[in-house]
Amino acid sequence: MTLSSFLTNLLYGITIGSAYTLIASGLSIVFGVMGVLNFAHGSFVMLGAYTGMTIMNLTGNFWLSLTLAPLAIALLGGIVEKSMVSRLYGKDIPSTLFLTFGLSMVFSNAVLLIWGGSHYSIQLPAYFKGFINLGGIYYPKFRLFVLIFSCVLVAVLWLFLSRSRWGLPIRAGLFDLETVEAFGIDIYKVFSVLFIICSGLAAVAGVIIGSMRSINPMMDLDLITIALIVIVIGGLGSFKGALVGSLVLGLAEAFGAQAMPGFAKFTTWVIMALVLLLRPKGLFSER
Amino acid sequence: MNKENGPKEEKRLISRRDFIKTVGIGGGVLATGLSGPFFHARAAQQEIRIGHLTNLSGVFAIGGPLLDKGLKLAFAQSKYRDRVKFFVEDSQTKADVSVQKALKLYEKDNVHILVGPIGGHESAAISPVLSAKKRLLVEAYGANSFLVGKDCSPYTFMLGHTTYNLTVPMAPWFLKTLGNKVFLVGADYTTGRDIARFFKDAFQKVGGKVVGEFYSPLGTAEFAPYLSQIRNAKEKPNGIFGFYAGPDLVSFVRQLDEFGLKKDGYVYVSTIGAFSMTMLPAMGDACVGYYDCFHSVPYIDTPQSKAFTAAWQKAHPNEVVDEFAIMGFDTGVCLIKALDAVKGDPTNTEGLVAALHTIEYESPRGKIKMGTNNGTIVPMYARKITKKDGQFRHEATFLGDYGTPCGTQYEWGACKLGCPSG
Amino acid sequence: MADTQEGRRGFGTRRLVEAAILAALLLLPLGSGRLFSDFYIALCLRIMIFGVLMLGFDLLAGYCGLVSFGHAMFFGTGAYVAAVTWKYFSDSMWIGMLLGLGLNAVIGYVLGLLVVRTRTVYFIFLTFAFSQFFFVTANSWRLIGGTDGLTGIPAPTLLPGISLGERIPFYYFTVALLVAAYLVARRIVNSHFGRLLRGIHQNEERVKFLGYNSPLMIRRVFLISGLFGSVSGTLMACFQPFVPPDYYHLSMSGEFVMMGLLGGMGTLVGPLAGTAIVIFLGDFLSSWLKEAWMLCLGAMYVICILFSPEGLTKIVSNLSATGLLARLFGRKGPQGQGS
Repeated sequence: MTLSSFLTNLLYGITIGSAYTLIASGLSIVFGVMGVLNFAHGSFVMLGAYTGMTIMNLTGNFWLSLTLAPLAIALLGGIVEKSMVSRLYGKDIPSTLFLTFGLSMVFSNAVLLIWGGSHYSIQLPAYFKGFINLGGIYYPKFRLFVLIFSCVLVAVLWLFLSRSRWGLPIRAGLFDLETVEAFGIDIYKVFSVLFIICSGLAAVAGVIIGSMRSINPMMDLDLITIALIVIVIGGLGSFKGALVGSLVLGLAEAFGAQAMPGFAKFTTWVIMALVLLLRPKGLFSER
Repeated sequence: MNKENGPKEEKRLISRRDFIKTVGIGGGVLATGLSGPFFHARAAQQEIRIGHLTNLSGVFAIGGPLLDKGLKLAFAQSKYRDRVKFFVEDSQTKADVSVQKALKLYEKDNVHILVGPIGGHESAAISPVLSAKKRLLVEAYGANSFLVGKDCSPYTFMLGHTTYNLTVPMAPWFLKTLGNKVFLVGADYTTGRDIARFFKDAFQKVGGKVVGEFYSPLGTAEFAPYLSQIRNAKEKPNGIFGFYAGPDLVSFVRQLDEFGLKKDGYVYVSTIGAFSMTMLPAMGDACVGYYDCFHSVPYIDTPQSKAFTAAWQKAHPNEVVDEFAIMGFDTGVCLIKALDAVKGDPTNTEGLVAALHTIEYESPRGKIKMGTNNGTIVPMYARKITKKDGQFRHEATFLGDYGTPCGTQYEWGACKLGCPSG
Repeated sequence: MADTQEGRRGFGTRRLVEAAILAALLLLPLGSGRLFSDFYIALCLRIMIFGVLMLGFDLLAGYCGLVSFGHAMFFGTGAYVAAVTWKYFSDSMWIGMLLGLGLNAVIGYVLGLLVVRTRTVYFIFLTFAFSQFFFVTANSWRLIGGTDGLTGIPAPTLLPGISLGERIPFYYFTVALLVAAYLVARRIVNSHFGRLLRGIHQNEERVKFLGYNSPLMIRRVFLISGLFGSVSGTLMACFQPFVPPDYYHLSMSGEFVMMGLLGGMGTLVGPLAGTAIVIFLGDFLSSWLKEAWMLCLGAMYVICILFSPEGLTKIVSNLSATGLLARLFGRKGPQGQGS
């Protein structure tokens, strides 16, 4: 492998890893704080992609897609949380899994009915097409954007969790929900806000991914699998874990194809297996 | 049951409710199931019952509804339009669901003819099960070479193609049109690998050279690591050949553009009509100038095709003419001709089978003839993607009429019904 | 203990219902072609085949509380091993089944060692991860068919002369296996081991303090439930002459979990009923609604779980017919209508 292809793959793995963080972190934190394993999380990403595509086709404005689609899906997330998920707080995990599994079936089929079985993708505006030359490395402009954008978003999230007023109860909730409640904080409001934010994040990831790959009614399963793998590696309920896990997965995808072309998918599994054997709860589990 | 009064009454109330629910659910299920045979037995005499098992969900969901519409359009124009009744089921692009539904269509809905699903693995699963029961299966797609080879059956007919006859004609075309150096790619599964292999053999036989190859797992979304292999090939290829389908294709084509390969003159050639009309918008301008191979060209300038386009646009004004729709229509035309041969009696399965075995008909694709191994001999075209006035169109070059040969020298063996030549 | 009390109370009714169901199963083939179409036999067979797996699944998830999201790995392995055996080596049903059981026993034992350290959600993840491995392998391994799976599997024979390719012999064979599996599962549930499993589910520490080796119990039930899955997979490979890698997919494991939860875990008969409901409903809805069936089914699941504020153990009594059956069989859920 030449230096330039190594660097390309590195850049590439980090880009895709940062996009995955947007998905996995939402799933992980929602579970860590609320005890809800949201199997429909992949559906939110998918819905974000489809909505973003429709907005793009209607307006031709990529930024509108990037902002409106997540808002719409965040709203949907809020409705789902208030009307359905909140009724199952305190129940055992299989209950919420049952609910979200059913929801994912509904969303996946709804997408098929509304948009049909064709494949779509978000057509990028002209200024995102083409690539730039970074000292011998050819890197597509859009991916550079994805890298910067995702990193900024991840940083904002981190700051939100560690410094803001809302962040503190969320982080504390990851450790000890009862104590947070004892302090008089309205836990249910925290849950709603959290769920809404994470759904919106998922949709942002959806718009981004929908601009790089194909949008189809089965992408939710692929995405939830990716998110689950990230969580297995990184640990549940940990933002840091989601970040590290996503990066590992992204790099594995980037380098695995070169290292073991016939078995590229195995690199992911090998890493997952190692983590499971050595630290069954994931690298950074906080629970 | 219980000693206390309160809980005892509560328990009884609940069990009565439960009992009613049980009877309700059970009765409902039973009634639904039993009503089937009674209802349909009466009408069976007059009707032509055609089962259409197709892919309404899953990976091939893009094609199912279009095939269905084409099929129904063919019958709507025919003299059987008042007698035909369709039973549509979703195979979900899964082999075991396909078998379940195929049996359901024959055993519960009592269809006379079954038009089968798109996936090769699905048709490979259904064919032996149905043939054992002497049931007719007509595949509009179902491209599985074994079904025209050693697994062939007098009751199964393939109206489409196989990976072989869609790939081999491209080799001399590639040499003539693009050059003698190719880079092979593909999705790493049976179809993708087979296509690459057939092309390689055929290409090297006419004097071409393979300068590199890679195969990515199905569902690969990121091709960047692979694309650098193309750039670093020992000699610059005149073109890239290989098969990707569905989401992989969209990602691959877009990334060829994103990573600058398109701009640097790398041309991508695929097959099996990967660049179908419905798929093109997803790839956008990134696919213009690329090629594929297929036996059907929407909007081609022939009287048959024009008639079909007109009929289609009348029936479905907002939908482009897609290859799947043409294939569905084609299947309908074929079945209608077979029904004519048995004087409209759909219960005469043996007669239908005999008629189909030697059938020839004119369709929007061109002139179609059934080969001795129950696979059709079809006109093949190399198609170039162009965009005129914002509309995608295929510019086609006729390559010849090709069926799928069989014989012991091929991996899929020889069909006991006979093997057509090349 | 309420255990024995309920057992004695429901004894007569239980035997009656069991006998009735068995009689119905045995007489069903007589009605095919006359009362209803042959297709329903096929549907029943599917229910019975999955039913065998669900019995084992219930032991693990219902009684011991470990919901496995990877049971497809036992199912798929049972199917693949049997298919490979029948295609290349021998046409005996028994050899195919035994080889499948053998490999699955090894898998169950080895993975059991890894899995025993985890509980609840981590158990879910681990089992999911393992089944992913099997899926990716099966998908990539050309030798066993790769993405298209194994096709052209010949029908095995039960004894020389009796081919299981004929539907009737296969039907009765499956009924026999289901009954055997049910009896074995019931035996386990009513045994000391079964009570320990329930104890571990309710309070593992207590069981440990009483001197029992709970990790060993867990590994045992994991292995046993895997063997049930193996038999199920082998039967499926006989029922349908092909084995796709989909048998290992997450959605297959997910379906098992749904069938179990819907019917009511920890009842043995609950998951069987859940299987019947899911398969019947799935078939009926997909024919009636074509491509909208999954939306309807998913919506029903959602409504189901929301309707019972007390959670899944009450879904059974509130909504489905299995509640009736469960009461007859003297179910005791984790809510503890007894000790």
